[in-house]
Amino acid sequence: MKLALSSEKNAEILSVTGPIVAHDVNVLRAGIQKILKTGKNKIVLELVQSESVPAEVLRTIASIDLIARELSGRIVLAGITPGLRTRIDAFAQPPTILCFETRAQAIEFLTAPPKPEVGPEESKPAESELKLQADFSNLRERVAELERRNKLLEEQVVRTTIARRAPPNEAVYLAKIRNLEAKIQEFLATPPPTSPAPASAAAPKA
Amino acid sequence: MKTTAQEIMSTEVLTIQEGAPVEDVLKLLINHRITGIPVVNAKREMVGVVSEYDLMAQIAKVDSANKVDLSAPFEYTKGARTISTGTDLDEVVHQMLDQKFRRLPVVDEQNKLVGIITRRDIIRMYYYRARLT
Repeated sequence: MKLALSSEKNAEILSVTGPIVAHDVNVLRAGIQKILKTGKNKIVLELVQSESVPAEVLRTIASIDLIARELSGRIVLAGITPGLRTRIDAFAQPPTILCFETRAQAIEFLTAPPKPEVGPEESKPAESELKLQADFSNLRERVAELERRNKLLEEQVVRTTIARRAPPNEAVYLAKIRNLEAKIQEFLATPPPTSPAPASAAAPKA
Repeated sequence: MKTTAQEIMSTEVLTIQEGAPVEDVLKLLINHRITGIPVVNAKREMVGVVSEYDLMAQIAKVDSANKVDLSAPFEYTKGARTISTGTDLDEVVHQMLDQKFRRLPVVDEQNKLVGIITRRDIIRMYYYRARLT
C-alpha cells in the first residue's frame, strides 16, 4: 500500500495505491490524522487498485470520520467498485462510510455549499397537523359567527323591550297614563281584605 | 517538525480584481458569508484587501444611502499584510493576535496569491490536534 497526498477544491485527496491489508491500518490512521491536524477536514480516501478493505481499516475510518464530522468535515471513500461498495455498505447498518465511484463525485459532495438546516419539505407541517389547523380555523370562524349572531339578538331584545315599554306616540302615551291612574284609583277604592283571626285565639281553652 | 502556512492554508480563495464595481464585492461578501476578500490585479498579484469596513466607509461618504453608486469601483485597503508559504504557524497566530487580523493572505515569491488562512482555520486545526492527541 502506498499513500500520496494532493489537494483539490479545498478537499484533501489521500490516494491509496495497492491492496490494503489489516496491518496497514496504523499507517492509514496516521495519514488521515496528519491531514486533520492541519485543520483540513474534508478528506477523500481514494482507493486505487484496491479490491477489498479489511474491517479494521473500515472501523478506523468510521471512527476518525466521526471526529471530522464534529466540525462539519467528512472522510469519504472514492474509486469504489460496485462490488466493494456493497461490502462496505454491509459493514454497518445504516452504512457509516460514504462511498463514491470517482474522485470527482467525492470532491463535489465535499465541496458543495451547505444545505439549509431545515429544508422546504421538512419545514412543512405534517398532514394531521394541517387538518388540526384547519379544524381549529373552522371552529374559530364558527365561534366568531355565533358571537356576531348573539350580539344581534341581544340588540334585538333590547330594542323590543324598549319598544314595548315606550309608547309609539303621545296619544298612546296619555292613554297608558290614564289606564295606570284608573288602576291606582281602583286599587285605592278597594278595601283591604280582613285578615283571618289567629288559630290560637279561636281555639277553646282546655 | 514545525507547521507552515502552506500546510494549513485554504487554497480555494475567493478574490476580486481591483476596479470591479461595489455591487460585485457586496454580493461576494454577503452570499459567501465572509467579511473580506483579497484584491488582486490582472496578474493575480495581491494588491490589498476589501472588507465590510471598507465598503461601509465608501458608502458613508455619500450624502444619502439611496445615492450609493453600485457601479462605482470599490475602494480597498492597499498593501494589506501577507505572509509567505513558509511562515511558521506560531508566527501566523501571533500576527493574527497582535494585529487582530481576521485573515492572512498567503503569497508566493512573486507576490501571487496562493492561499488564505483565517481565524477559523486556526481554531479548527487546534480542535483536531486536541481531539487526536
